[in-house]
Amino acid sequence: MTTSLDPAVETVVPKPSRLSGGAASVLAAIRSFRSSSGTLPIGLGLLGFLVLTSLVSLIWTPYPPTATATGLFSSAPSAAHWFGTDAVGSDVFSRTISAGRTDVFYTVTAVAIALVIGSAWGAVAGFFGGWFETVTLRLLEVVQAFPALLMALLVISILGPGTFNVILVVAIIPLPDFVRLARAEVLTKKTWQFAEAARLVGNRPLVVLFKHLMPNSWRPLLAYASISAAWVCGNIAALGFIGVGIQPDAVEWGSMIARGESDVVAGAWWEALFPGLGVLVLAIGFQLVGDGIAARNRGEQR
Amino acid sequence: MNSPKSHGPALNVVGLRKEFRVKRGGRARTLVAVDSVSIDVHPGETVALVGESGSGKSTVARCIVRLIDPTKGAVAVHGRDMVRMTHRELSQAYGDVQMVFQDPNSSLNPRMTARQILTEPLRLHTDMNKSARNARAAELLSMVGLGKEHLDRYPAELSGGQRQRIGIARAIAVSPKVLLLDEPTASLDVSVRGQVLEILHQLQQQQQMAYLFISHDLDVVRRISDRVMVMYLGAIVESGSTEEIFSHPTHPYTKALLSAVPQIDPDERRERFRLEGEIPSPFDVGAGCRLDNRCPLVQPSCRAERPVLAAVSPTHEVACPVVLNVERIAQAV
Amino acid sequence: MTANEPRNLLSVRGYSGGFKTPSGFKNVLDDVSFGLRESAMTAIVGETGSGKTLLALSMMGLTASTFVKTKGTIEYAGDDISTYDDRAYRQIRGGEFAMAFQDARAALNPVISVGKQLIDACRAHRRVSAAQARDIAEEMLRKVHVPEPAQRMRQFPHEFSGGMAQRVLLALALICQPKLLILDEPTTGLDVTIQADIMELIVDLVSSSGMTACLITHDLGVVAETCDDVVVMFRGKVRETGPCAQVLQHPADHYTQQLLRSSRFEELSA
Repeated sequence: MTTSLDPAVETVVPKPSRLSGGAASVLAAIRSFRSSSGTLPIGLGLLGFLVLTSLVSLIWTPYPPTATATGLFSSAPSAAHWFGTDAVGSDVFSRTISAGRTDVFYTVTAVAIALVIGSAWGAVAGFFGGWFETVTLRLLEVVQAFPALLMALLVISILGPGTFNVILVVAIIPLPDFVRLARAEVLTKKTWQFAEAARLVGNRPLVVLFKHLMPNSWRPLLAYASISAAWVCGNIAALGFIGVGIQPDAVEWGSMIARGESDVVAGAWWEALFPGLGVLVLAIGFQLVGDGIAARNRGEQR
Repeated sequence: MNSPKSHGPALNVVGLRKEFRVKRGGRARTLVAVDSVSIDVHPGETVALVGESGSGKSTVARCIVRLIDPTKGAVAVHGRDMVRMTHRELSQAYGDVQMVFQDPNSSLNPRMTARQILTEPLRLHTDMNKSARNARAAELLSMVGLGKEHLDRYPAELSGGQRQRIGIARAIAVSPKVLLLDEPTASLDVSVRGQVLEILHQLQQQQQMAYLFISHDLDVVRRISDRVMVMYLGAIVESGSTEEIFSHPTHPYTKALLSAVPQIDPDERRERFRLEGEIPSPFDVGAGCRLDNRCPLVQPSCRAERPVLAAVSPTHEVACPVVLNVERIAQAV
Repeated sequence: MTANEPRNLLSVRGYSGGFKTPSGFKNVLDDVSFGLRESAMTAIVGETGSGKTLLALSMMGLTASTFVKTKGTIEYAGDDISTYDDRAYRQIRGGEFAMAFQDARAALNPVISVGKQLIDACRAHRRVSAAQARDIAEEMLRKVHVPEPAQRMRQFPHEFSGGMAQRVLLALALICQPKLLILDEPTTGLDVTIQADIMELIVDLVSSSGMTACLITHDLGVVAETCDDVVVMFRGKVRETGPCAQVLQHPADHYTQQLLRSSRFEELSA
């Protein structure tokens, strides 16, 4: 029972917000929606939609995504070309849904790598402490001192372009956050009595960590994984846009935006808009799923 | 007491000391949480370690099973030295010494069923096959008064008393010789407390386990223990048979503690023996008696030298020269 | 109730209520009736889930918004206060009713000095100047035996031990000279010697001021040593009420008898 007894506290009126009433209430509504677990089905729905279109693109697209001159160059959306065509006459619709495969796959793989390696690393650092933890924390500080994209450029210039290297680079960016989060989770839970009980039963320390502690920590990590995926897909698109790591003519949303960007001024808005929407839907989907998981965690802890 | 002493103690702690380095205001200071504590517990015997918060009683238990490493001293379980064991040896030693934790809500992994919790020690310490382990888990449940229907329940699906019984069942799964009970009934309702104590008593009768019972609840201690050791600020200030401690408390702190316990029945009530103030910070303990600033009987000599345990009777020791003198005079008269 | 018995400061009659949950309505209090005799200390005793804390919160008008009263009254000064809205309750809460909680350090505001919390509480309900309020606050701390009150006023809750924080909470509750003091497990979690000191202090303060007090607890020993009357609760129902001496020594109700047996360890075979 933590109700305040102080009568002065009870009479405190909420301070008026600086925003106008309308904007404040819209913001408040968004905030309360994001902190409810109702975002989970919507987020899953958006991601499901993207996965579905990507799968469809495996067996069917109106035109081959890499084919050029399928129609007029830079033609507006029409019945023949739903999303229009680009400067070399490729079908934007076919390219957009095919590119979803690349972006979704890159994003999921990169986040999975960051989640698994980061969590394991952070968990071990938190559990055993000592020099390993100290070195880890200093290393994270160094890595995080670099701006994310600058670091990506640096690593790509060392490793060279290629699918795997791109995934690796966008995985390294959120990795420190997973290390920190897993370390914090383990630090708060390692003195819980069930962790001590697991040791007293005769388990080896690593078994205590990965069998007893981590299964009780995966939810906040998963929530963060989903939220960070929203950033990862943005980073992948950004690398494609500036043409680093990903080939300029690759079927990838960022590259497509780069290719269509110059035509936007000429009025061909469709070339960049649709791949841009793809990135947006993917990012929002992951963000909502992350919010939803986080809200459920809070609900269960109550 | 029903202990066959010829076989020696099941648990033997000698001169246990635990220091913590604590950073306070920028500089590290040493906090002595446990200071020269010696305990013997024989098979079938229950020794209670009594004290208030900050007395170090739980630290003693945690040092014994090496959840934390003692700074100095020896701990032997069944004659085997625990202090110098490697992690691998410790894992094996946990077949002989087990612990029941205070809070059953946090001592059970919320993602494991009763079956998983109970079969895990069996998998690690015995070569039973899966069906034998399951059979043993069911047997353990019946030993603590639960049924087979509880085997596949998660801790959240059990009541507080049932959870603590699972905690006890896990501890006795591999038939340990020594059981450390760290306030096992502190978080339970009175009606459940009795059931849990009764189960512990029955188990001890059957298996002749040595119990080190850590508690601040003197009512419980009085009912279930053979001997009592009273701790204050990391040291044992009085130890003796339960009968002697409760009928003839000698150390000023023991007197204060016993007289503070509220009693339902008017004829059980003792006159309050008052100490000044509250337990001081362990950093502020001087060279003399730890109770010097609170004790109504304090003498100048108390601040000069730290008192050590000395015999009042063959089975009763107290660390207070002042009361000891009074006792000796009383005995001589 | 006969005329020569002291009258009740507060009477709970047929009070029932429960919580709205996703899985339907869950009844917690069932036809609860008892009275708090004026200037007496009444214990409400029960185990986990007996509804004793909810009852205390109901008297204070502090129940969660999901709690719904289904019937009954709580009568105080000729009014049924269970029908009051929060604004009306605020008139009596703090001024006429005060409450002390189990976890004193959590109940105090961690970022405001103890002195300021006392002064604010004092000025919220009494027409006094800031300087007078400061004097009253310091005097209150002295009354609850906090050593060096002038210095302690400047300190924050985390600088207090559990026992000292509970004393501050008592000072905070008493500073407005309430008619009714409700104590929800005020010594649970404290060491026995500190518990004994706090309970002695409570009994002293209550008897010297003529205040009415209601102690929520699970410890029959504490009840026997400090209270005049007792209400025994089990699963939301009142099982037995009466003077402590009578209920604890000659319990009529089966559950009370069982509770006493458990408290005295009579079911142990050893």
